[in-house]
This record gives sequence, C-alpha cells and structure tokens, in this order.
Amino acid sequence: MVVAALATTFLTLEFNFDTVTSSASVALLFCMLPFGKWLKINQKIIQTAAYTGCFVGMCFPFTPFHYLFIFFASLVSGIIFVLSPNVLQGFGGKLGSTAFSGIAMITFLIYLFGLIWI
Amino acid sequence: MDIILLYISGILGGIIPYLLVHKKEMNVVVASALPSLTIALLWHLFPFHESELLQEVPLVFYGASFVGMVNQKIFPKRLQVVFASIVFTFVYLNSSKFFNGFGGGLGTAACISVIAIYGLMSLKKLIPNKNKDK
Repeated sequence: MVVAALATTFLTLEFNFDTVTSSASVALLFCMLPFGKWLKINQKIIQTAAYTGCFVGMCFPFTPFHYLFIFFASLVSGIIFVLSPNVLQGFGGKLGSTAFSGIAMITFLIYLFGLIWI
Repeated sequence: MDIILLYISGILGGIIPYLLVHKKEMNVVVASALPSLTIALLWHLFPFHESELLQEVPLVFYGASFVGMVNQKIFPKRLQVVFASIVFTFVYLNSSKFFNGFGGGLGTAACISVIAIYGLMSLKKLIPNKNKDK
C-alpha cells in the first residue's frame, strides 16, 4: 500500500500526470505484475491494498514534506485496511473510504501538533 | 448541458466496471482502473473541452467506477448501479470544497451513494405487501 501510494504521488508530482492517470496506471501495474507469487501472498489482497494506496497517493500536496505525509497516511490506511476486513465488504467505495480515513487521521495529527508546537 | 454530460459519464463509469466484473468476470480492480485510465488519457490527449466543468469528467468517471465495483449480492440489478451512480454524481457536484485535494474523497462519496441506495432498497423490503394475503 505504501509503495503504491508513493508511486502515485511520484507520478503526479514529478511527471505532472493528473491524479486519475497516475492512480489508475499504478493500480494496473500492480495487477499485471505477479507480486503475489514473489511475496507468497494472495494476489487479490495485494491488488486491493495497492488500489487503496493509489487513492492515498491522489492527495494534494498540503505540506512541504508531502512524501513523508503520504508514507504515514498510507501506513495508517493500511492498519485500518487490515483491521476492517469484514466492514462494508462488497460495498463500492470501501477502499476509498479507508484511504480517506488514513489521510484524515494524519491531517488531524498534524493539526494537533501544529497547535501544540506553534 | 455540461452537467448532463457529467451525469452521463457518472452512469457510464458505474455501469461499465459492473458489467466487466459480472459479465466478463474481469478482476474488480482492473475493471475499475482500465476504463478510467482510458477516459483520462483520451481527455488529456484530446482536450476538445473548454468548460471547466467538463474537465472533471475523468474524476466523475473514476469515482463512479468505484460504485461499479459493488458486489452483486449488494446490487443484483444494473438499475440499482445506475441510481447509485446518479447519486454519486450529485454528491460530487454538490459536496463541500473543504475536502478538496483529500485522497479517497471520491471513494467516500461512492460509498455514501452505495449505502444510500442500499438503504432505500432495505426500506422498500420493510413495506408490507398487501397483495400477498389475497
């Protein structure tokens, strides 16, 4: 998930692709390459996690340390993804909501630390 | 006219991945990402649109494709996906600008649309069928 998120961010910022193109390209790359075989994990889980990571990577650069922000946001999204396998299962948009939750949590933490330190 | 085109792209974005998954048995992620990438590339390579609203067609299509990723147990009929896609497009056009730039916003809007239509379907089942007793 972290790799997919960082890859999407990289494509968007460095190559000036729009968010949909970068996100969809990274998702298709993860679907085509046999990561499941290499890592000995179910390929479907990797594809789903990578797709969630792609949504995290679609985030607009709010902070100067955007790559670090995306890293932590994708970590949190990954934790939520692992802890909620049966929540909203089969519902469209579940992955996007997971990504949104991760980003919202990290943004809130940054806001809190900003209030404390500034 | 631009808004109608956005609604059409939303409906197509919802129904195309749904049909790809359930008729062609394609992988869910590929069924969502491949048509979205095609539309985004076409929109990028052939910028024949001048309207600011039409520039959001790839985003609406991509977000609606998350609606199309729904399981057939949740939405057994295509019409339900169409309604959910319409609700998604409405939510997208009328949502607050506060969360602009937040990743996962499209997915959350899609989830809200799916839950809304699923809720309406569940409510419809609660209505007693008077003809059943006759």
